[in-house]
Amino acid sequence: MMYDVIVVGAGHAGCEAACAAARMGSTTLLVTMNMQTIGQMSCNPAMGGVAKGQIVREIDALGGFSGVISDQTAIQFRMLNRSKGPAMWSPRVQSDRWRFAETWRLTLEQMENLHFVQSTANEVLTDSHGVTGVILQNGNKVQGKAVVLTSGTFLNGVMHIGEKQTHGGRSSEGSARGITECLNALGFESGRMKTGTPPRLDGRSLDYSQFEEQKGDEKPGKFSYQPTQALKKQRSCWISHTSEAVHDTLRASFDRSPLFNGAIQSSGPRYCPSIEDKINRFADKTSHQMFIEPEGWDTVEVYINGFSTSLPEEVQHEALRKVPGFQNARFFRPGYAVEYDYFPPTQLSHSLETKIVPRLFFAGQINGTTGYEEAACQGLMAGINAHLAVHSKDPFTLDRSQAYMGVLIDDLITKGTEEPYRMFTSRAEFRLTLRQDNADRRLTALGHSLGLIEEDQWKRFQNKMESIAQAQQWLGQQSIEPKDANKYLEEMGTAAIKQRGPLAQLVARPQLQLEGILSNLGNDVPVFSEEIWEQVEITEKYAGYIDKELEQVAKLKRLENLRIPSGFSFERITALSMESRQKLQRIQPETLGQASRISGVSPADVQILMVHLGR
Amino acid sequence: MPYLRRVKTIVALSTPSGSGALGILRISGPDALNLVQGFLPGLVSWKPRHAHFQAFVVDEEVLDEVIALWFPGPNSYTGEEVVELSFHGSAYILDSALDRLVQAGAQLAKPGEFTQRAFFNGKLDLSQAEAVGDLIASESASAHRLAFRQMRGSVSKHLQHLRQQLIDFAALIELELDFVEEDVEFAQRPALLKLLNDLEVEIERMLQTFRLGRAIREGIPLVLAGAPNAGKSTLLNRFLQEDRAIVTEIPGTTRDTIEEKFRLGAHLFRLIDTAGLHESTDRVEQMGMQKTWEKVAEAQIVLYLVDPMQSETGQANELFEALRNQAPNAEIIPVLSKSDLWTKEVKSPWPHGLTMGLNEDLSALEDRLNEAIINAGWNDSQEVLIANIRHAEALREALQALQRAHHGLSSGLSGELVAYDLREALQHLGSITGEIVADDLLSSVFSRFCIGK
Repeated sequence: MMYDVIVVGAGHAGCEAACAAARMGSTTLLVTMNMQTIGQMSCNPAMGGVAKGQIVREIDALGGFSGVISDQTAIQFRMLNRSKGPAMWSPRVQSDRWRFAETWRLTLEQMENLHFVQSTANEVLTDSHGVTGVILQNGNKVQGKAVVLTSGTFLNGVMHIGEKQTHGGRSSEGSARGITECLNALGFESGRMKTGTPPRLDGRSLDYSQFEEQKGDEKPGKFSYQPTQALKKQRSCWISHTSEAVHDTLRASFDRSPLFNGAIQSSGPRYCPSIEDKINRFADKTSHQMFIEPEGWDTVEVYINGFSTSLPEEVQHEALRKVPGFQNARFFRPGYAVEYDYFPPTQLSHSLETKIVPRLFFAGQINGTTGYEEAACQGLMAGINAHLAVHSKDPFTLDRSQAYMGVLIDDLITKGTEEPYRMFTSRAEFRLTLRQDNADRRLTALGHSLGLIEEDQWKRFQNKMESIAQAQQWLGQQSIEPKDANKYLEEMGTAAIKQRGPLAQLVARPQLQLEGILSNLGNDVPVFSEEIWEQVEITEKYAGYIDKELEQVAKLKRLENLRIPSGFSFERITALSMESRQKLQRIQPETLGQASRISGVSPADVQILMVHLGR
Repeated sequence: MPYLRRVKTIVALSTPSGSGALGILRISGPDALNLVQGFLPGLVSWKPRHAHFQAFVVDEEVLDEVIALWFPGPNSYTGEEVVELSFHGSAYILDSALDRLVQAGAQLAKPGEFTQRAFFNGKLDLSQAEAVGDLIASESASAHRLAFRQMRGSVSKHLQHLRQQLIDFAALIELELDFVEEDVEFAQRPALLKLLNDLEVEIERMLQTFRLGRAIREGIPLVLAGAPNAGKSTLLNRFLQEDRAIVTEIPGTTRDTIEEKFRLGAHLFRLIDTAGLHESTDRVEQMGMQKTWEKVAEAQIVLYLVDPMQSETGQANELFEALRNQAPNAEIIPVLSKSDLWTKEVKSPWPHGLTMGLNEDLSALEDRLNEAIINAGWNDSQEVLIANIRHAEALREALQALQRAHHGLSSGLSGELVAYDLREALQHLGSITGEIVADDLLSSVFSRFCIGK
């Protein structure tokens, strides 16, 4: 059997990749080490968060499934950053870990063109034209026109608990061997990264009266633009804090920590450090926050967010029992650190296809990222592009002004990453435009033209856009007299108006909300849903800033439109500094805009390149 | 290489045109050595950076005896192959040699092209390249020092420092946006406002040095002001040691302003003579006085000339105040002039004033001017001076963005909008120093706060 697309790995990246390729019409094979762990959440049972929630919304708007599945399996919803402006609002859910995985599997099983095999891929097959398939553990060759590798933490994965080391990518699971060596032989550069996870406990053994409760939103929202249901009931999380006594216990065994005794050399994420790292680096901090997160609706298992550690099991126990409310804690599983191979993502082009082997794609942690959301969106893009490549179509890419997904991929392939890469809003130049509320306005039309948006969803989207346009048009036609407005304006603590003026102008004032303006000052207000008015309000409130961002986008596009011919020899331009020459040669930017974002490439270098490109 | 345009070899006269003892031709580019070799048949083996005494031969005749120097690329000024030929300074010799080199394939360099190549070849950064232009054009010792320091990178270094401060500040705002779930203490608003204020003061201070930086480059504006016939034009002519201004006994002879540069010690002054200030209904005189006030506003130093025989003390004082209002940052030095016409009893009503005859030795006044330069704190030994208009513009834009951020922060604007203005400020600084912002912001956050829910 010849497959169009073979996806290796069935985590967040692999599931989205397989799903997209199959739905676009490719005959797709999903290779997973274990059919029981498809869509497994390896670390915390949650989706979304600041910047990550925006990504889930984008995946959903483009036609991926992470949003739908998160909605279906959520046990708590919170919109983070509500006190800030709409660009910062970030949806986050606690998930039922088992149901999340189960729902992914059942969703994938519905896909007509999708086949499954439980095995490990040990080798990537290539010929002079590119990738041709993979070899499975049993020695079987599987032919495929494109291959997407989403290996997570499994490539030569080694887990550390104290002095103990076990091979595997996840607790009680094996590791994948052969792929790294095979790719190295093909000329790929690889590196090693590290991440960690906290212990899991029996929730019945904790004293919740000593914790602070963290409830879900009173009016829970959701991720998907599709008609999924918002939560009717929710489970709470709980907050506790470590103390000096806890730190002392941990510190006493630092010599047994693989982080400090040299067993782990690779770099872990600075923003997701282990508890021992926190104590070590911020010695003057006497207490660290911990979240007790339920693992699902029905299970008693809890996840101790903030207490990631790779100290020996007995040290983990002893220290944790000194946390208020944990005196009688019973352990299900200890925390651990895991080291795995990744491939510096500068070896990819914007479509996530490798530069060395045509039609071979990488997505997720293999590219040095961390996080379910980051992995899922790369999987979606790799799946789309694997399908397009097999069908000889132009790649599909998103730029930095279109989506966080565009920022993520551009950052990866342009700058590479030294530590596991996580998305932050501060990475996006256009973050006032890249909001969770308008992901559909940015991406759904693109998803539709790719064939990833079903007709009923497309209709809903078009109706919504039409309503927004109507509401905006209506608001634009309204004006108001000082005598009608000023009493309300005074009540709201904002300046009076002196002459008749457009009602929309009042929306921009920070003291006023559209809802209040319409109910107090509006006449014959047309009926639109809250969602529609929210779009109108955000557009008015951010108008000045968004115009400025659009100017910046135009500037970016000018550089972005200056394409650098492929195979361009940067080494020959002695005008460039040695550092930027080497970096440019290695990364081979596709446009001048991309070149300008490579660290070490100065504005002067960009001018030189411009001259050499004949501008 | 279809994309690389072939780099041309350029040649130019590098010493001032006209006759001097020496004239140097500089040749830069890949063919520099080949081109020159054809004219130096006697030179068998070139040694880098060594002086070769050789005959420059044209059509089998010796045109001149020259010193030839070879600077192999990339260790040369432009980063390319460079040859310098020192001829005797005759216009005929230099023109012939230049002509022959061009015939042999070199191109005449455009103004600034050597420096441009040095910039393109990574030998100078943008602010250094700009400084080279200033260095060449420097007209006084202090302007020369300023340009030289900037070329060595002092402005770049200071801006880097400022940028890092701004990044650390912006990181505090970003912290609240990206790490809301974290167990970190967010900075209090008053503390943030104070930091922002410090940054604004810092940029303002740098911008103020622009006035001085420009003064050093273009000359310190020194305005001669006073009532008609107080002796302003006489003093101008004394400074310039020529009869630049028409001097008569008739009050109001100078109706327009006159500007001339002159050097005093290490400093270059832009000396501005102005129309006398008094009540007048004459249209032309009024226009002249209007211009006087404009010049006073630009001044760094005002020499306020008073003829005590002609002015009431009260009137003179009024005018003094008016000048001070017009130029609050300038030093105003009152000078009681024409001492040969009045008796010693006349005392200057201003303690820091000067009394002198217009025909006397100027050394007391010169000392007073030097003192003023030191008093104003704008002596050129200051570590950083902004002398370049592009830098000043970028700083001004950055300052405006910071002021918007300040306003936003104090009026309770949402953090992402404050952050927007801060990023804009960083971009403007980056247009001089050139850096990627997002990574630096995050690094600043991670190095200072314990992040990791």
